[in-house]
Amino acid sequence: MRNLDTWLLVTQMAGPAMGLLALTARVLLASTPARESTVYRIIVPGLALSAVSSWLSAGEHALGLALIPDGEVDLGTWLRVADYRIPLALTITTPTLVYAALGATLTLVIAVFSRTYLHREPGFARFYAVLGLVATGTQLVALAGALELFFAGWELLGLASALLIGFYHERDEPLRSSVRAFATFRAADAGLLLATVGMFSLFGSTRFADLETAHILPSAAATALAAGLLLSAMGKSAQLPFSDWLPRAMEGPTPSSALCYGAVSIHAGVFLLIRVQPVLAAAPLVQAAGIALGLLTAAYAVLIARTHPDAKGALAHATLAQVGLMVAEVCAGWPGLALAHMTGHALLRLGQFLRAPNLIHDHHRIGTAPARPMWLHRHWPRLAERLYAQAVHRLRLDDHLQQVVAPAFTAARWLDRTDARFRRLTDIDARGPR
Amino acid sequence: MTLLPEFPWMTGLIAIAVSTAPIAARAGGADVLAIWLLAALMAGALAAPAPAVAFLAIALAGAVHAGLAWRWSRTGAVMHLTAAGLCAAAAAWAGTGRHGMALLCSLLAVGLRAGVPPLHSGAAALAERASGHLAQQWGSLLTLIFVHLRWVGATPIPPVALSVLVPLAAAAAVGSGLLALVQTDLRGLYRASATLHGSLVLCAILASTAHSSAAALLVGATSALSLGGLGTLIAAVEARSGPVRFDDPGGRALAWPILAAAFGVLTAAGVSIPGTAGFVADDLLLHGLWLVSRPATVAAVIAPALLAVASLSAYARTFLGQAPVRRIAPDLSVRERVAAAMLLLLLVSLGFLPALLSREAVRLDDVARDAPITTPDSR
Repeated sequence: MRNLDTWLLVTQMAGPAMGLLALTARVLLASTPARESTVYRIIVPGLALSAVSSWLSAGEHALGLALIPDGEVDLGTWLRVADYRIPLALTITTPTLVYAALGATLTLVIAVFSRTYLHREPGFARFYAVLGLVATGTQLVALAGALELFFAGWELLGLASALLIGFYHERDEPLRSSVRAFATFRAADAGLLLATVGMFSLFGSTRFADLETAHILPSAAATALAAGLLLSAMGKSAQLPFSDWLPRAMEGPTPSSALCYGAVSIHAGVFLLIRVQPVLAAAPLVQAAGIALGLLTAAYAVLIARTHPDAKGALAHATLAQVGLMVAEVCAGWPGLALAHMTGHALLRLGQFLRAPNLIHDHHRIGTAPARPMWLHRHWPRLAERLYAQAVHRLRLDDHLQQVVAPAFTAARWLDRTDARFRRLTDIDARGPR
Repeated sequence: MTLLPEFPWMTGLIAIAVSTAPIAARAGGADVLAIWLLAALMAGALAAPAPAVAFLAIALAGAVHAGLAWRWSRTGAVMHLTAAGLCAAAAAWAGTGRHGMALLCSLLAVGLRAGVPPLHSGAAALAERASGHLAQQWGSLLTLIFVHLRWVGATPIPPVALSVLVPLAAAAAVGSGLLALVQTDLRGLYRASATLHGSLVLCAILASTAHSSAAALLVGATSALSLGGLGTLIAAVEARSGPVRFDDPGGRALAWPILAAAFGVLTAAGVSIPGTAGFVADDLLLHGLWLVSRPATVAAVIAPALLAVASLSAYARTFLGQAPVRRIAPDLSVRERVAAAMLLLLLVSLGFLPALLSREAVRLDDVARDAPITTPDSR
């Protein structure tokens, strides 16, 4: 029975991965393109298997039937070099099982929904392949027992998000948005990478279970560790100042927006903070920063949402506001509340996003003037006008970010010119005829 | 001399696969002879019972590369000859027991071959004029890395030198990453990618003195496989549509979906996507660097991130978007698919089973521990 519990957990991760591998092999090795029904039949069973396994695991633990108690399942070692080891460990706790079940279920729902929504879409097979990637990444993030495995799932989620944003690659804007989102993820992921290395040097291990002893760490070490983890969470969950990629992510197909930016990927940052709660608790400075940034993001997002002219964009900012509150809840030491908030929010937003195209069609809102906050306009009209003007331009966040990033590009161009001159000087072929 | 208990089959397989891929992708009688010669020299270097023999074999391989590169780029050929000379010098020094000098010559040879700034002129010239050849030479470079780790890797490096060289190499990687962001054509990106990978290889080799050889070997293998594959496929793209500029209309994925898919996966492998060898290699590299230099660790996190963004942007501009003209060239030929598949299979296999290569590095560490380096002064 203990083996059955372990197999359920492994199946949750392996199901989508096997579907993805099978679809990749079918596309690359066959001489004819795969039909939509074939693609569907290859991917969806894996997703269904993952969803069923996740519900069985969660149900077992909820009813106290599981033979593996809360804690860790050790599946061996992925890599062992000198004193360094990457364990193949899975974590079984309420948050991990809830997130795994949520992710698996919602991915399956999206897969079924997309069969008709994306019917006759040229990238049908590509969409389902990336969906397999999202599912695999979500399960890894949910169940990983060590930071390396977690980071693998984290990276897969980020890559899948970028691929889905750029789905309609015939246009320039989705491609630019895709690169921008990916750049934001990679920039923020530096925090998680450094936290992984730092954690190994402090604990001698990268298992989540070892974080329970974070309270004995020196204050500076705990703060540095927590700061790296918070940075990464902020990037994935689009918290300030990394919020600019989320509205651009609406370029992708509606099912992917619903899954990634309404339900699963956008909450991955919150989930990370829930998992590393002991480290946050040992770093009050980082907790305070997280609360402040979460609340600021919520305020910013509410302002933008009220002026956004399209349904998906408004929903994206509404999601951002809620995620900001969740970040504040976790950093305030209420991970249970954040988990419940996240679960309910994911279910609500998925439905709202999937309904968004119908909303546009029903109300013909494209191009109409956005609504203004009437009560503020009545009492403080000048303030309302200023806020409205700023909100329409998204508080000029893009311009501010551009000012931060521009020096790096200036330096890069200078470096390029210098390098070109150096190479011309040292290039024998450039000196004369051959 | 302490012999290795077992021939490093995985290292040899990767080295030969990378050397063979550009040639396998196209027909070429004279090059096939060169491949056989290179394979024999690389196998000899890996199995050599003495450092002098190993370094000499690498030097001869360098001379072969110089001969192959001469018609494409004299700068590249001179680089190979210089590196060959350094390897010959390392052979001579190692033969006389002066491992410190052998280490220095070997490091310089690696730096030249890998294209570590400011020694990157030769590699850059090859990237510009013969990307397939630059890709091919990474096979024997991986062999050189193994030989270095095997025979001189355990030689102590003065901490002062280490504290200067490691951050410099890491800074070179970040500089290459910044260069990658502003490139305007595919060859420029390949050049920046090559110098970045080369800098990280040097970081890993230097850091191996504090930790284990595994990071150096894995980073070297990942770089060889991904750059080898990219060089081969860039040659395939240019054979079909000429040199690629990023302001040209893209849309090549519509005409050549298999080429686009293979290129995408190899690009992803080069920037450490999970499931490929680079993911584990970078993880090991960071842990090794952390023991030597914290700023270098931060730089080693930033550099691949910059390359990842530049690579995604380049991929989008090269392959995605609307195709303004109908491209009539065929997709990857069978030979090209076999070459790309060979490298991809190795990248993914190492991604899931890194122990296939890391155990060869562990053997290197065991041998080095059992046979401590002695110098003439210490006897």
